[in-house]
Amino acid sequence: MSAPPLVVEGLEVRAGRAGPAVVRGVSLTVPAGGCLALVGESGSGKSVTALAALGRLPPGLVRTGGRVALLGRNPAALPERALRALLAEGTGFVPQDPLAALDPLHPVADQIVAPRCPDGWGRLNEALSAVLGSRRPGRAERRRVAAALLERMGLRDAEARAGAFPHAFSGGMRQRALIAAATRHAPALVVADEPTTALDAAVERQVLTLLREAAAEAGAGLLLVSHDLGLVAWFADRVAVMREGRIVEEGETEAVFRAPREAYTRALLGASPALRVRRVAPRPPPGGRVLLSVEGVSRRYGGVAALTGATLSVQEGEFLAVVGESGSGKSTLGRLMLGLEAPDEGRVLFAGEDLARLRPAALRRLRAEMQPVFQDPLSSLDPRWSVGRSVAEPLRVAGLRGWPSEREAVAALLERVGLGGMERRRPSELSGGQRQRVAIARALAPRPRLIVADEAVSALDVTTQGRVMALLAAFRREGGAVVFVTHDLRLAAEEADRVAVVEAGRIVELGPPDAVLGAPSHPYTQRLVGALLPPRFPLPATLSEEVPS
Amino acid sequence: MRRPSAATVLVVLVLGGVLAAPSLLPPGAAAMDPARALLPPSAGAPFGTDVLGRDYLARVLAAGRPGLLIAAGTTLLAALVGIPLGVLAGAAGGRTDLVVMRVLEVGFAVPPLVLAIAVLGVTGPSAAALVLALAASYAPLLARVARAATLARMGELYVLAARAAGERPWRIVALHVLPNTAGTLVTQTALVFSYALLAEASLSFLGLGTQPANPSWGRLLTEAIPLTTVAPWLGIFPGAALVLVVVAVNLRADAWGDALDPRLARGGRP
Repeated sequence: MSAPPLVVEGLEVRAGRAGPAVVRGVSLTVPAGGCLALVGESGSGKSVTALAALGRLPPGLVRTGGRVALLGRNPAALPERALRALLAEGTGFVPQDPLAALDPLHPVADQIVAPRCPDGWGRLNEALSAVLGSRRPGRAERRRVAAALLERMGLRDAEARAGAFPHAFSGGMRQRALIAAATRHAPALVVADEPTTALDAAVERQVLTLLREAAAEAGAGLLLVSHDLGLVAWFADRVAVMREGRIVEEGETEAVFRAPREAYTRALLGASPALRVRRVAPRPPPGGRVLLSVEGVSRRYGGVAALTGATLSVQEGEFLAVVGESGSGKSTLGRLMLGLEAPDEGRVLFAGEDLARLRPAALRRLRAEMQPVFQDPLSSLDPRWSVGRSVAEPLRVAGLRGWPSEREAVAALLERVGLGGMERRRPSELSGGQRQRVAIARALAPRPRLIVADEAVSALDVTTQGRVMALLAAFRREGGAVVFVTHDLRLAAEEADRVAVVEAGRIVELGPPDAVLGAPSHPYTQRLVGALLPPRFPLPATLSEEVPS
Repeated sequence: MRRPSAATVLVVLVLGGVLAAPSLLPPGAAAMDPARALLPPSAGAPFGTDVLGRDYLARVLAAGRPGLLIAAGTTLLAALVGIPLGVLAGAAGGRTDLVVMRVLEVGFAVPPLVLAIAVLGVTGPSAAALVLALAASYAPLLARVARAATLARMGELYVLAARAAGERPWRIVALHVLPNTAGTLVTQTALVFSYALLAEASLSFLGLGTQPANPSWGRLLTEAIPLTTVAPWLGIFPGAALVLVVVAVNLRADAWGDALDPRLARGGRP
């Protein structure tokens, strides 16, 4: 066994030299050929630890203590050029967001075979070596190598795709291309920072398996940063659980799972979507009246059909999950349900009114009854507006709707979502989870009968997801209907009365979750369900009885 | 209270100096005195004196007024016409957008100076005609920027959220779109002020702007040409005044624009 590629001892990182500590005395070792998973909620310091290990802390963060040995060298003591060479030859990095990590202006092949140096000196070097007998492979050579790499990552038509631009790749394909890039030069250490957060369940498992295999093939140590303990259980030899900048528990994966010592580890296990089992007993379909009905609706964007002949209805007090991959047309369906877009064909009826035929003023009055929650809470709140003002906006439009006063309404709503007294904050001063709770308070303000949540928890970490789901569940208990648009089958199965599966603009399956997910009849649903990971280890008895608060 | 920036101090000093010049300077400052002609800058006359022995500091300060007033008038008019039209085109979209922008684009076909020269050729030198001609050229510029900024905001999720809350279109524009485009618009409007100031100076330099009785920076530059080797300060000071105002106004506007962006104002990313 060769020396471990990464050893960290007593690492301390602060926000500014005298600022608060973000990482407080973290020690870890990534063995050659092994996989260590660093697990914790967002803000626990796990990504910062990984970046500090690579000598690439973002501006504002300073390493104030501890020892890092990256392939035997201290990255902080190396001059920039030497560090760059060390990182380029000895390490591979798989980033969180495959969309942002590829330059849209260059073919994928060029980016994974010969990544460009971003600075002027790098370009000059490149130009010089091109003149003096190139070390950079030629175009045909790059394409050939890229095709071979992509093929190994299980991409079909690798030959043809290698020359394509990033926009022609789906999220999963992009992430596979990035894994190919990170492992092509047989690095000694691969660091993957939440490599599957942006992907759906079907792709998540493939990508992690590929990552693990590619690292093992290269004999590389793998540092896997993730918030999902249940997921890493499948891939990591050892697990280190981080909280508030400290490692609170570390050990062999199986040992941590079978007998988690820390309450925090148990909480993380309980919150893991990969381990979550359906805890809510299946409810009989609510026999209420139909609130919203979508009848044979089609919508095209510039000749491309986003939705074709969709028909479904939502009953009062029902929780309907709309499941599908990105690009399947599920968000379009959500917007049509809210009357934010008009269908090209078919009708959308809310409480018997055809939304497309209502006059603008009548439609605006009806909007208080149906409220949206969007995926990205930062962009769905006006950055200039205070939280209180954003929550009150629907009331300004629709009147008080039973609230004694606007101020009391805002206070009560913020209290309800656990943000009491935060009226005067701006969105930029809140965390992602807090922003999404503001968005929900705003949606609840006019006491609507329907909330359409479009990927409302996809951008949140698991513990925050739980809180947001609980708020939606509470709204449903009070008689409201929820349409929950998501790519996450597990979330859909947990709360929904019925599940609609959308593929390529068509509703391919619709029914109670037990029927749809228990015995999927459509090949697409079967693929989605097949990708769900069963728990690798039996959970401690105490855990499976816990119910998320 | 924050310390005022260098740009703020410059803007206040230059504008204040120019506007208050007649009352600030000693009464005899502008008087002719052939015995003191073409003196280089000294303690008694910091900017030197001109051909007729007039104190050049007083001349430069007095000459700033017409240019600044014309630039201010042009900017105001261009902004009042261009920005609402651009916002309307961006927010309404469709046919309104098409018609408004095609009409405004006619303005792009004629360069500002050419249009101004043509108009002044017909009307004779007149500040009002100059302001109209320049504003007609710069309004489409501001409209373009306002339209682009509005389009970008209209695509934001918080605008969709406001629609979903049932807000009326004009309220969405007033409450969400305009405040979030203000930074861009302030910066661009300041740019138009600089363009207009330079255009006025250019026209006066060519003898088309302010007429002899009323000095302006452009005219002072023209008059300085034959004396460049003898009295270089005659060209340097009005030229420097022009550059100073343009730079100071733009710096100030940039800072103002940034201050209007809540994400930058708090000095950190969200």
